[in-house]
Amino acid sequence: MIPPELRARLRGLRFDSAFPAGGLGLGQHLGRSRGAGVEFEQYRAYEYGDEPRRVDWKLYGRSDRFFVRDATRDSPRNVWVLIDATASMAQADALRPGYSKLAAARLLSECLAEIAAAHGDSFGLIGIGGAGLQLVPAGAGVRHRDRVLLALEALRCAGEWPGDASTLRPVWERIEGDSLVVMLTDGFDAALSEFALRLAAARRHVLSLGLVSCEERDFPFEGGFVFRDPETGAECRVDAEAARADYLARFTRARAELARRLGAGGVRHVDHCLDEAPDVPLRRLLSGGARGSARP
Amino acid sequence: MIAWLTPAGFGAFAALAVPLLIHWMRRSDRRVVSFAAERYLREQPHPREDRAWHERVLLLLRLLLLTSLALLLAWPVWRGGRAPPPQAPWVVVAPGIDAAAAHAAVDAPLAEWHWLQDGASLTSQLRELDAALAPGTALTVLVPEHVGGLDAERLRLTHAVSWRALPVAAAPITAPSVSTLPLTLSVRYDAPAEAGAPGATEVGVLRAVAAAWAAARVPATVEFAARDTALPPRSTWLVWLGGGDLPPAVAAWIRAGGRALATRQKDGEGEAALSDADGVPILRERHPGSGTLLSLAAPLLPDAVPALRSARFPQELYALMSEPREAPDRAPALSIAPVAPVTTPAAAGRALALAPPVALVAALLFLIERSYATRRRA
Repeated sequence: MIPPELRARLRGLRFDSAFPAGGLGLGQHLGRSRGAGVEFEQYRAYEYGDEPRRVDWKLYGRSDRFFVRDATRDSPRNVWVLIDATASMAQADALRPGYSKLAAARLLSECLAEIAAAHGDSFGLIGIGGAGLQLVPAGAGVRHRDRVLLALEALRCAGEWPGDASTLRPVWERIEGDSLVVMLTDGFDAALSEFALRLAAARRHVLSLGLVSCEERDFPFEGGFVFRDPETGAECRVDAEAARADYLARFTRARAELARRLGAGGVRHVDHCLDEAPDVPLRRLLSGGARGSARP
Repeated sequence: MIAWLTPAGFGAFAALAVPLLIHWMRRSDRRVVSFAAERYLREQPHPREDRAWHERVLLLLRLLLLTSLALLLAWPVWRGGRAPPPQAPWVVVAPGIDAAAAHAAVDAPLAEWHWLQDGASLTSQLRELDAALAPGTALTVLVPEHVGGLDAERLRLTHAVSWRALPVAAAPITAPSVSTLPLTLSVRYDAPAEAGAPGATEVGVLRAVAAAWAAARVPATVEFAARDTALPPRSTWLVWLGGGDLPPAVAAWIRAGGRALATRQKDGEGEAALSDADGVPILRERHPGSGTLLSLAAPLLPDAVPALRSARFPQELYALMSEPREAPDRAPALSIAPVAPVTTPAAAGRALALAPPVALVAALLFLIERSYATRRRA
């Protein structure tokens, strides 16, 4: 459940971005569909088949040629949340054992569903992990939001990122072009980053939110440890104090490299540490850079 | 100079192995943590040895604590300074020895001569002298050939003693101390069999004896009871009337140190303790175990033992029963020479016990160790 104070802070957030919404029907976002409407888009030459009432007769009087007046319509946005449900998402901090990365992803998804429901956008959910693909089809409205919340509760993380294309095919089938895709992941899986880049290259607007636990960020361990990768089972025996500097350097470099790669591919990436409030990364992700240049 | 009274306490140093082992081994149990960012970790090229000393300060504290406890068990003492300068030899002369004979017997011109006091116990005087005498002093003791007034403890001195026995013309003999304890008799008899005229039964005879003692104001009490009454304490004489074999309980009581008189017993055992005017033994004395048994072959009746009619019988019986029992306190002098001196710390000079300060140090170390081991770690 979203805490009340968080819900209050979500009020100002909306899925504005630099690209037009691709949804069909009427919505609140700048759309790509043209035709009859109030917002003038362009004049174009008359073609056979255009309704005569859409011809701008005043312009005909001035120029003696037929022009058709085009307008843009406000469209709804299709928002998809793609949750990485691999085993590494079970990572939680020792100080806050119940709040794993998956729990954070659940909370963030709830926030996004809340925002979508508030603005009439259609919202879909996809969880991908070792157990396969869990999908809630896109839909709008408060009841659909509740359906999404129910599916979120049932989401479990296990295994590794599925490598075969057949598992991922529903993603390509369901997510239309011009949809907004928010990926909630820990960013450790190179295959997942590749997938995000491919989605972005295929005209989906992808935002990536990298979940980082405090222990991964600060490495506060002391003494001897055996660190085990929950997905591959690889083990590393280290003395924490001796390994800290090297680890922090490599980790920071890897995150920066991830953000750079995704950014180069048109995917905006924001890291979110588990001790931050969930609305902070959403604010940076949704409102960053798009203000004022909404129209193409 | 530190000396150790119980060097076996150093065996406690073996306990040092325990903290060493603890601090050596504990590193090996590394915690296993599930960590998704494991791929960014690198195995160190030279990982710190698993079995390294850790918590060195704590280890040091624990070792110090155990060391102090082991030292405490070894009981340290401080022997002050160097040995005292040699003293002039002492010659101690027991009472009863002629001074001229003593000077003739010992050829020690520089010696200090001391005469022991007459009347007090020789052994206790020697012990006191031994304790007070400076260590290392040569001691010569002259005693008569026979020494009296000894006690049960063998003479044990810390000084090396030259023990010389000199012949004495008239050895002083102290009068033996007479036991002043009142005589108590407890008579056990068979009540139905003894019913009858006072002069015709054994109980009657004893009552007559008791009456005679009372008339003569002899310190003796006589009590009468049936046979199955509980046995009296061992300081009391038991008089067992009626004959027959003694019951096992009574026999055991006698063997354990009791004294008893029994009538109508089998004759011919033991030596005569009381005889009549003709020399015919009346009471025979035996010593089963550590006890005493006076047995009378006949019944205790005037008809059977005519000596009972004698007016002196109660007196003789009292003398027999209240015979002073004094521990032997005389022995030939050479047989009681002091045994070899035992070396005690006192023999080598003043010794200062170091145990209290060491115990204090151990307690302090314990407190420091506890507070350090339970300190709040960052």
